[in-house]
This record gives sequence, structure tokens and C-alpha cells, in this order.
Amino acid sequence: MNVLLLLLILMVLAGLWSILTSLLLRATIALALTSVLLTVVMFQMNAPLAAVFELSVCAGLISVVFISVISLTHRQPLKEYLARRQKRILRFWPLPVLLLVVGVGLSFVHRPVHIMLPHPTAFGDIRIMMWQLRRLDLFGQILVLLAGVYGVLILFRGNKNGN
Amino acid sequence: MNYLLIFVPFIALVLVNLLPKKLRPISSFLVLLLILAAQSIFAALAPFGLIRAVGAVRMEHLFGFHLLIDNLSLLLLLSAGIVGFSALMVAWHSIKDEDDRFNFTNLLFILLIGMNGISMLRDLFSLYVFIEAIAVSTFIMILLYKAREAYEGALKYLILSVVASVMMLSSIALFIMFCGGTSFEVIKLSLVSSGALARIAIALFICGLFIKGGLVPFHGWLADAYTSAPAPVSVVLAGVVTKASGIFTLIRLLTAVIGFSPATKDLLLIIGAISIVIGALAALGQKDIKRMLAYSSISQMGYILVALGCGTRLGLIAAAFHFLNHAIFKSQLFANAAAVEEQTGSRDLGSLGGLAQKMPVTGITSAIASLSTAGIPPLSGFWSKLLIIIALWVSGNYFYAVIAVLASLLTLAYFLTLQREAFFGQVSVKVSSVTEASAGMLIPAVLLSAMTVGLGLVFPFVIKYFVR
Amino acid sequence: MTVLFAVLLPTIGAFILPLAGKVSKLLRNILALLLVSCSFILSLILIPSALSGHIESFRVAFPLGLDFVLAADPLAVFMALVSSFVGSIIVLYSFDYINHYENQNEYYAMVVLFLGSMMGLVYSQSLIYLYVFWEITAIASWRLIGFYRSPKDVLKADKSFLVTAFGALVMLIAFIAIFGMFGTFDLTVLKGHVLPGVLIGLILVGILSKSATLPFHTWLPDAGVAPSPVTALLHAAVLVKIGVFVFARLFLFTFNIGVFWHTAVPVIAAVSALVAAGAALIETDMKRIIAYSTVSQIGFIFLGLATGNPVGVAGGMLYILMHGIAKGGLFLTAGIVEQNTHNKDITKMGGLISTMPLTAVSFLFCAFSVMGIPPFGGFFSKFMVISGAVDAGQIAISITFIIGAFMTILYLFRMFNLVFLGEARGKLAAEGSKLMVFCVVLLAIMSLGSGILISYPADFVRIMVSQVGGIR
Repeated sequence: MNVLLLLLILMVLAGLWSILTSLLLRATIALALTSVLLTVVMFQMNAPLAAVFELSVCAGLISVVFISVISLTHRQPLKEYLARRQKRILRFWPLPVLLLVVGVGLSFVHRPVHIMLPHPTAFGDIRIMMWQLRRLDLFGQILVLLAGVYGVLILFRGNKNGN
Repeated sequence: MNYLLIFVPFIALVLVNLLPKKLRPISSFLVLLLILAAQSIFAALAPFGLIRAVGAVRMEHLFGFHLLIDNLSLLLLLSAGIVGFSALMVAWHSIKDEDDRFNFTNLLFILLIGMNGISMLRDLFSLYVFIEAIAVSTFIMILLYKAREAYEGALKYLILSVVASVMMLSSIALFIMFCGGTSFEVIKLSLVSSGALARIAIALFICGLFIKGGLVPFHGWLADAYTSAPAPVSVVLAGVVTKASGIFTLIRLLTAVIGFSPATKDLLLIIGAISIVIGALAALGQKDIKRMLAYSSISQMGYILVALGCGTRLGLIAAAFHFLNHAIFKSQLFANAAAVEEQTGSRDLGSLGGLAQKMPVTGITSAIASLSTAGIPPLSGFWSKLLIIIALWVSGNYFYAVIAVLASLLTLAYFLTLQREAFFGQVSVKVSSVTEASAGMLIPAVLLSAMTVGLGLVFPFVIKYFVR
Repeated sequence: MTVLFAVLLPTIGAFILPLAGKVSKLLRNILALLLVSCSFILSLILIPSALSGHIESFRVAFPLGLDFVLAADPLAVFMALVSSFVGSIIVLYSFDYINHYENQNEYYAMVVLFLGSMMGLVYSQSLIYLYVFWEITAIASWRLIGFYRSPKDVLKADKSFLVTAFGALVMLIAFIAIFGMFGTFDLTVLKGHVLPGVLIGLILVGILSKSATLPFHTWLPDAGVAPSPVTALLHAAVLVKIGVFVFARLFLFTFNIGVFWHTAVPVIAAVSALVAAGAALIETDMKRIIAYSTVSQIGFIFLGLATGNPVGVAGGMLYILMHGIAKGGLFLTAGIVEQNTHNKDITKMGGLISTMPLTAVSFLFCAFSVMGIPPFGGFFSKFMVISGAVDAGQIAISITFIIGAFMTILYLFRMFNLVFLGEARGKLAAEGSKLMVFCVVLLAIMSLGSGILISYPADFVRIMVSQVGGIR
């Protein structure tokens, strides 16, 4: 339980970082980190299927696409960048506070949850699970990856031609 | 046959990518064209029993999953085939760079596989995965030229798409929680004895689909995405993609899983009616051809939705038929817009005029498609609108029937504006040296408007195959 | 089968005309004339069967009550004869009128398509196909009104399309409601049923918008920007008669309508007749005067049909014939004058009788018929309509219409005076081409002849009226 709590806190921190940072590249890395942490949480909570998808699509593919898009942008002059950073911090400082308030507030509300969750079934080996039960989804995911690959191809080629 | 529809394009996609670089563009174009044509012919003939889905080899054991074709699947297969074919023809002439063209073809392959998958799936999670495959490839297609405005359109599409995905995923999570599975049968069984949570899950999923389909409260992305996309991409996007991931999935879900409760019907009717009116009103004021067509799409989606909202068999048939019709005439209008943009370099209605004299084929075909969209007889759009209105009236939704009828007038009004400013009228100075588009651009337009006229004329004869 | 051919030949044939035009202009023109006159001849062939009561019909059954039904009853044959006859003359006139403009292929295709769908409209016995053909005529007239393609023309074409489409859509709601009540669109099945007042009102909106009656009349004068043969076709002979015809078809021959509408419709017609006549009196554009005159005369037809007694209905029917011929003649003469003087303003003309005597006399003959001066055809129809209204006890309305008839005489004489008599205020122009003059002379003679030989059409109309169920 403690491990889980730690992971969740880390995840929230990473998420906050991805919003608060003013550098696009850092934001992307922070996002990927959030995804990775989420994946670990999912494994911990015995949901390997979700974890695999989260890792491959969010931490992997989306980050690649983001980074490739960022590589097409221009660098801002330092002065502008500093002025902007100041403004950003001003704009976003209530966010962590808000998060904290909401979290504490929620913890006081003791509403019992009436939903009966089914007992988590033992999935066993992830490879067997994927291959035996969800082959079609695997196929679908191959499609998503392929599309992503073409996306990267198109965007990077544009970078070369653009110069 | 079911499995071939997915695996043939996939294997073809892999094979053409293995060819020597010189051969790739032409071979991928030809192969995809062939596949699309074959798929259209198969889907068009299958309902009449002329071709039977081959089931000799028990392929489920080989692949470990089920794909089922019913009449609804054929609808999407046919629309995807026709629209894909037109988009590919348009792409061949309007995308100048060979690498771009090859990339477009590859992405179209993926789109096709995605749509074919959606048409035959019976599992909520797989449905979601395939919808995502479509969304990602569409997103990249819009960026094909890396134009600045395309980034904006694509980003809007991406962001709203992600919101939709989150909604659908949460809904799936809820379903897994209280149903223990995601296949349609499992969900349907457990829906019988479930309460508020099930309703939340359904509402979330439907909301996600509304975003994907660009219906009115969630239509912000649609106009930008359609307008900024390269010409062939907007053909395929407007013709079938948004409808495959939004409307078609909705129809599938309603018929196979959720069923029509009074609340669902009201939701569909209200959202549909609002989409019809707002889409049409927004289209009235547009100066950009593609933007006008995009808003028109929203309005036509509304028609499909109100037809579904009847909750009757006739309503479903009407919705299905309008779905097909919309695929035909909207992709044709976008193909016409592509031809106009290609020849004049402009999509601005203010600077065009009298193009019907310079581009007679484009002029006539666009007039046919416009009138069909406005529901003017004897074109095919009239019959589907008529069925929708009859279905609404017979099911007692008089108010919505009147809205649907009178909104046709708005549709007619903006299409007359389009015709007046671009085609009908005197030749404006800026376009005095314009010539007709190349044959490749005209083939889809002519083919599709022949379908519009032909379907309109034979409709009374074919309707008995649907109304049984 | 004859009915089917009368409808299909021109509607399908229209699409061959542009191809024929690529081969030779003459071939296309003659083919267009042939297609239209074919309908006329086929309708002539249908007369005996229609009169004998053994009505020839053609039916294809479809699900959902969408049966395709054509039937040649006397009303349909009568309308078909009038419109295809006037249509043929207009096509003949177009040979010379239109031959120096662009887009001739489209022109002939649309005129023939228009007349073909008119045939379909009069013969069809199903509400939904009535609507289908109704809208095809709207498409054709949209293209035809915008024939000259200037921004002003196209705007007016769009306006007329939108107004008539609005009416048609409102009417469609009523049709769907009828389907909801009775489960069919087939008029032969629907015969004798009583309609709720709301639906009658909705259908009337459609009828009034197509017939350019108040308050939906504004598109008709505006549509005068079209070439003269087109205005003759739309305003005089065919398009505006669609509304009147559908009124007769639905409210006299099919449904029973209440007493209220037998008073309400004449009132609308009376207002329309007076207002339009007033507008015609002050207008100076030649074609707009004749167009307003049409709006005014349509009021008379509505009055006749709405009286609901045999004399009035027969008068209304005869009025369709007489007005079609005479008003067609007026528009075509106006076309000759306009084309040769390059002018539409009647205050800048005058004395034209010295240079174009035949045209002037033809104009006068047709004008006499419209005014209702004996022994021209228009006299009998106008007389019967008003006496029918008196019989029905609508004295006040009859007096209003007599005032309207006086105003007709006034504005037509004013126009004749300014255009053909007096001294020349503009350029004097020569007579039109032989073919065009032949057409208008033919129509003028027909105006006179139909009055002298009134017994033939009157007999026909009498038999038709005897079949009407709802007449008291």
C-alpha cells in the first residue's frame, strides 16, 4: 500500500511538472514519466493489460510524436523566454494549491462506495493473455503504431526539406 | 471473406512497402485502388444475395477472434470502398510529390483496415482500439503537407479526440467493472439488471462518439480539420471517417447493445435537431467552399441522428440510407472543391464565379450533389430525407419532422449560394483563363454523381430489399 | 402505356438533347420540338379513353405506399393538352429567339425536362410523385430563369427556387401527415376522405407559392429577367398553372374540403387579383406588367375552382386553357418587341404598330382574350367564373373580381397604347423573324378561335366536371 501511495504521489508530481514547466521538451519528458509511473501503478494493481497499453501508446508513441513535432518548432529568444516563464508561473501557481485543497477536502468525505467490484481475475502470463484473448486488439494496436511510424516519417522528412 | 477484408489490405500494405523504392508509389496506388473497387462491388452486391460471404474455412480457430458481417457492416464497407476510391483518385492528381502520395496511400490503407474492422467488430474495447487507429492516421493525414493551418486543424482534432478517448475508456472501464467483459453479448446481458452506473457508462461512451462524429455541442474541431486538410484527405474525412468512428459506432451500439430507451431517443432527437439547424445556419454564412461543406456535414449528421432517434425499424433504414447517401454526395462535393482549388488556386467564394462555363463537368456534377444534399427529387438525397421524415412522423415526433423538413430549405439556401457564387453566373475576371480539371479528378465526380442520380431513379425498386 | 410514354419521352429525352447539340444545332432543335409535340400527340390519343370513363392507367407497386401510379383522367388529359400545346409553340418560337445566346444546349434540355415533368405531374396519381415532378420543374425553372447568368439574374433565379421550394416543403409536411393518417400516398385510394383544416392550409401554402398568389407572388415578376420564351413558359402556360392544377386535383377531385375553404380561398384570390392588378397599372417594365397580370388572372382561376359549383369549376378549367394561350401570346409578342428594340420600358416606346403590324395585332387579340371581350375565348371563361361565384352566393367577392376585370382592361390598353400607338419615343424596330411572328399569330388566332368554337372545350370540361365528387 505504501509503495502505491508513493507512486501515486510521484505521478501527480510528474503531472504537475509537465504542466508547469515552460520548455516543451521537458513537458514531454515529464508526460512520459507520468505515463511510466502510471504503468507501474497499474502493474501493482494487477491490471497488466492496461499497463501494457499505457506504456506502449502513451509513454512510447505519443512522446515520439510530440518530440518530432517539437523538433519542427523554433527556439525563442532568451529575453522573451524569461518574460514568458515569469508569466507562466504566475498563471499556474494556484494549481498545486487547488489540487491539495481538493485532495484534503475529499478525504473528509466518507461516502461509502456501493459498487461491487468483481474480484480481479488472475490474468497469468501477459503474453498468453494478449495472444489468447485479445489478438484482435493487438492487431489494432499494430495499426496505431504503423500510423504513428508514418507520422514520424512525414514530420521528420518535413524537417529536412524545410531547411 | 470477413477476415480477408482486414488481412488483404494489411498484407498488401506490408508488401508494397517491401518493394523497391521506384515501384512503390504506383504499385501501392494500383493495389489499393483494386482492393477498394473489389470491396465496393462485394458490399454492393452482397445484400441482394448475388455474392455470399465465404464461410467454408473455419477461420475463427486460426485467428482466435470473431468478425461478423451483417447488413449494417456492408453499409460501412460500401461507403468506405466508394469514398476511399474517390479520395485515392483525387490524391493521384492533386498530391504532386511522390513521397507524399505514397505516405497518403499507406495511411489510407490503415484507415481502410480500421474502418473494415469497425464494421465487423462485436467488442467494445476492440472497437475503441480501431477507432484510435483511425484517429491517429487521420491526424497524420491532415498534417501531410505540414501547412501551418493544418497544424491548427490537426491539433484541435487531436485534443478533442483525446477527450473523446478518455470518455470512452472510462466508460469501458465502468463496463468491465460491472459486466466483467467488453464483448457486446456480455454487456447486453448485464445491462438488464444494472442501475445508474450503467447509464453513466453509456452516456460517457455516447458522448465520446458525439465528439468523434462532430455533433453540435462538440463540433468545434470539425470545420477546422476539414478545411485545413489536403484535398483528398478532406474527401475521405468528410465522406466516411468521422461517420465511421462516430455515427456508425453509435448505430452499432444502439442496435446491438443499448437499445432504444425513451431517454436515449430524446437525447438523439434533441442533439440531432440542434445539429441540423446550427450546422445549416453556420454553413449559410461561410465564404470558404470547404468550410461551408464542413458545416453542411454537421447538419447532415444531425439528420442521421434524428432518424435514429425514432427508434423504429424504418428510422434505422432511413439513417442507414442517409449514411450511404451522405458518403456519396459529400465526398463528391469535396472532390469538386478539390478540382476548383486545383484549377483556380482559390476556395474563396468571393473570387470565383461562372466556373460552370469553364469547368462544365465539375459544374454539373456539383449542382447534382448540391441538390441531392438539399433533398430535391428525384436525386437519391431526396429519398433518404423522405424516409427520415416519414419515420419521424409515423413514430409521432411531429415537431422534429417539421424541423427536418424546413431545414432542407436552409440547406437549399446555402447550396444555392455556393452555386451562385462559384459555378452559376457570369465568369469572373480572376477565373477567365481557367480550364477543366484533369480527367483523373473528374472520374470520381462523374462516378459519384451518376450514383446519386442512379440511386435516386432506382430507389423505389431497391427499397423493398431494405424494408422487409 | 401511352401515359407512360407521354411522361417518359420528354423527361428522358431531355438528357439526349445536349448530346444532339454537339452534333448539330438543327437536329437538337427539331428533336426538342418532336419530344414536346410527342407528349401533345400522345395526350390527344388519350382523349377518347378519358371521355369514355374507361381511364387508362399505369401502375408499379412499391412498398411503403410509394406506388408509382399514372392515370389519364379528363383533368390530367386536359392539363397535358394545354401545357404541351403551348409548350410546343414556345419551343418553336425559341428556335429563332435563343439562337444567338450561349448555353443553348442547357436551355433546350431544361425546357424539355420542364415540360416532361409537367406531364408527369399532371398524370401522376400519387402524392409523392406529384411532389417529385413538382420539384423537378423547380430545378428546371431555376436554371432557366438564370439563363443570362448575370449576378442579378442568378439571384432572382435563386429567389424563385427558394420561395417555391419553401412552399413545396410545407406541402410535403402535409403529404407526410396524410401518409401518417391513411398509410398511403395513392390518390385513387385517398379519394373522398376528409382532410383536417391544418393540412389543407399547409398544402395551400405550397399551391399559392407555386401559383405566385399573394403573399408568395414576389418571385414571379422578378423572374421576368429570364428570356421571353421562358417567361411565357413559366408565367403563362405551365409553371403557375401547376398550383391551380394541384388545387383542382387534390381539393376538387380527391379530398373533401370544408365550407370554410370555399370562402377563404376566394378571399385570398380576390386580394391577390386586386393588388396585382394595381401593381400592373403603375409598373413600366413590359414583362413585369404581364407578370403581374398573370398573378391577377390566377386569382380568377382560384375563384372559379373554389366556388365548388359546376359552372364555376368549368369556368376555372376553361380559364386555364384560355389564359395559357393568350398570356403565352402576350409574353411572346413582348419578347419580339424586347429583342428588336432592346428595351423593356414601355414609356420609351411607341408607334411600333407602323413597323411591326402583325405583332401588334396579335398582341391586341391576345389582350382582348385576357380582358374577356367577346367573342374571344377569355370572355366565356371569365363569364362562367363570375357567374359561378354569384351562384355560390358570394356577391361581394364577385363584385371585387369584376373590378379586377376592369383593371385588367385598363392596364392592358395602357400598355398597348404606350407600346404600339402614338408617336415613337424610342427607336422603331422592324418585325421579328418569320418563325417568331408565325408563333404569335398562331396564338392570337387560337385566342379568337377558342372563343368562336367554344363548344368543343366546353363539352370536354363539362364531362370532366361531372366526375368531380365534391361538387354540390
